[in-house]
Amino acid sequence: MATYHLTFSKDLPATELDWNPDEETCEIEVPAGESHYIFQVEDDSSRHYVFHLRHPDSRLLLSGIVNAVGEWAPRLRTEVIHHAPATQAETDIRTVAYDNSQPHYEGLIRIEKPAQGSESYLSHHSLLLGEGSHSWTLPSLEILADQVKCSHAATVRTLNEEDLFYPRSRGISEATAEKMLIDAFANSYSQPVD
Amino acid sequence: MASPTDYKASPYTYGFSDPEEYLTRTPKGLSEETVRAISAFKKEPLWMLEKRLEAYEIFLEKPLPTWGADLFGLDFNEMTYFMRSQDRPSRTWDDVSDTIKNTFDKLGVPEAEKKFLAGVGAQYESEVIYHNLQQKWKDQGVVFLDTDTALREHEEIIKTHFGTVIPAHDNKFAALNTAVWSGGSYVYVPKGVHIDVPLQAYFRINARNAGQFERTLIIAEEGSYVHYVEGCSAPTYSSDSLHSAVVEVIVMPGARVRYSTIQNWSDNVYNLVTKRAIAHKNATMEWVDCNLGSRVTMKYPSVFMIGEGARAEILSLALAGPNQHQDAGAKAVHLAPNTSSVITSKSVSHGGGRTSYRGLVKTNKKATGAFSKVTCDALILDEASRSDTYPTMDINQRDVKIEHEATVSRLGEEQLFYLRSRGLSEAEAAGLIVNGFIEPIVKELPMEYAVEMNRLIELQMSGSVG
Repeated sequence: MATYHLTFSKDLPATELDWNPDEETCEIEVPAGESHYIFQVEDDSSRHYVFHLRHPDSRLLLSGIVNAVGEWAPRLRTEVIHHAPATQAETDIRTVAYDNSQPHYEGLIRIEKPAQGSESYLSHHSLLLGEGSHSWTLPSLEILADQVKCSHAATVRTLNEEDLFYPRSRGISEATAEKMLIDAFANSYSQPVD
Repeated sequence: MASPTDYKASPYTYGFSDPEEYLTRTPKGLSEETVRAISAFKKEPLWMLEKRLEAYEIFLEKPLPTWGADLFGLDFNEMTYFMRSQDRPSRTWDDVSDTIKNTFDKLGVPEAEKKFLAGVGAQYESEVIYHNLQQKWKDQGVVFLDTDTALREHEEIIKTHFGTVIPAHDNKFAALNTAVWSGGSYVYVPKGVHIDVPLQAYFRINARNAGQFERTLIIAEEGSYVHYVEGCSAPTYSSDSLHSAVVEVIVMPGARVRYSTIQNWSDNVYNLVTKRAIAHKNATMEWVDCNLGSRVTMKYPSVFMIGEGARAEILSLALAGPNQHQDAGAKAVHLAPNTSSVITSKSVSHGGGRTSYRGLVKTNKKATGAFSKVTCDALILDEASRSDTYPTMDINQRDVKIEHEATVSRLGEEQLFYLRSRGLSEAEAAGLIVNGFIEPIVKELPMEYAVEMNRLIELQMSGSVG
């Protein structure tokens, strides 16, 4: 499986893909076989990725995390377009919003007419931690073929007393418990199975 | 024996005996004169004329929506904006298309009702129905009138609430409706009154200026309950190419309103409707919205929950066949603590039809403890059809629980196989599966509507499944 990292952060090594920051949209031709793209967005920017599945039977896993802090309003838009038959894709994005950040995520699955027999799933989960945090999510589906299985799911929530109760009852301090739960949320996006 | 010349007509007692008969229709096209003529014909108070004129200016300024369905085929100058129902071109049974006649036969619609639905029936019959039922409502202090009459008889309350839920500048079609509205229903339910029978509006609205630009206002006072049913599952033939209604609902604290719609316009109609409710403290608003007909539908019933503990439930059903685009959805706006909303959408596209779910869940800072769950299921029956889902979630408060899920699938091979092996034809099997798919919404309709709906689905499925 080919793995590509799409990392955007001052503190982390730059992405391995050629990506021109001046271009509004980044078009990616997904190679045949299995590919895994991992997003790690830790800056205040606007990004738009379009993944084209043009090889029959190819598989795409798109996963990652958006961390937004301070007054950031990062925008991420992913599009997965199935052109070829029997292609499979899974998109799993997680967003953590601290402080007054306003993360914005749009995820589209589009199945073109010839892409019969395709399967595509998208999930987006947001954790709002900041008092003034604000999340905007639009998962969309555009299905033009009939022999397909598609679904998406999205949730928005915060950490509440119940979540913290168990680790607290085991003697873990509130700060540690919170950190554990946030880490668990942020790192539980889909990983390829070897 | 009295000779024919002795006969004197007695005053017409079955409604529409309006003395003002100098204007029966406005010329084609829309202008300030049209708006003034409509208002003058109805002898409206000055404030209403001013509202109409202001809305007309807003209509001119607003662009057509760039999202949603294709509205390119709309020509505002090719339409007649006001026409009295009795002056509509008379149609005979022979003019009604065979498809509609066949559908009536298969649904088992009674003869008189058939003619009425096809626009050839004598309309006073429906007025009689209306008057008979009205006494029962009156005894409970309920007001149920067409909006034109209500404006004459209850001017103050209309003036207080008209356009407060959906102002003219909300969108282009709300502005158009405010400028040229006619007909629609006005429902007032006093404090604590539970109306145990559904109020059915279909016949009455159409007896008056058939509802092209209906304006409906429903006010449910504290602790009251009303179920309002609009439309009809049998196909409704209309020669008008645009239907643009505005429905405003005000649900006072602790009240509950259910508004059920079954829309089955003929497939030449653009159906662009704005529906919105305001739910006060602990109030419940329920929209049951079924869209079967029309060429293009754009309709997103919404609930603004402005009081603590308000609830919204929206059930949306869309069925799109050949050349149809059903762009339907729902909006839940949480503006107060502990508000909750449940949105369930089911759509079926076949024969090249397109269904879109377009929705919004929004919470503001005050909406602590808000809960929302959105479920959208779509069924695509053949490769020519299309299904879209566009649910927006705009969450401005961290202490919330918001869930959304959507699925798109086709008819299950296994389900079809089982039914075929039991001797059902493919079309019958498909009809049965589709009826099962939409059952959670259909079961919320009054029984006679549900029965007709199921028959209608079976009818639409026959021959459409390859």
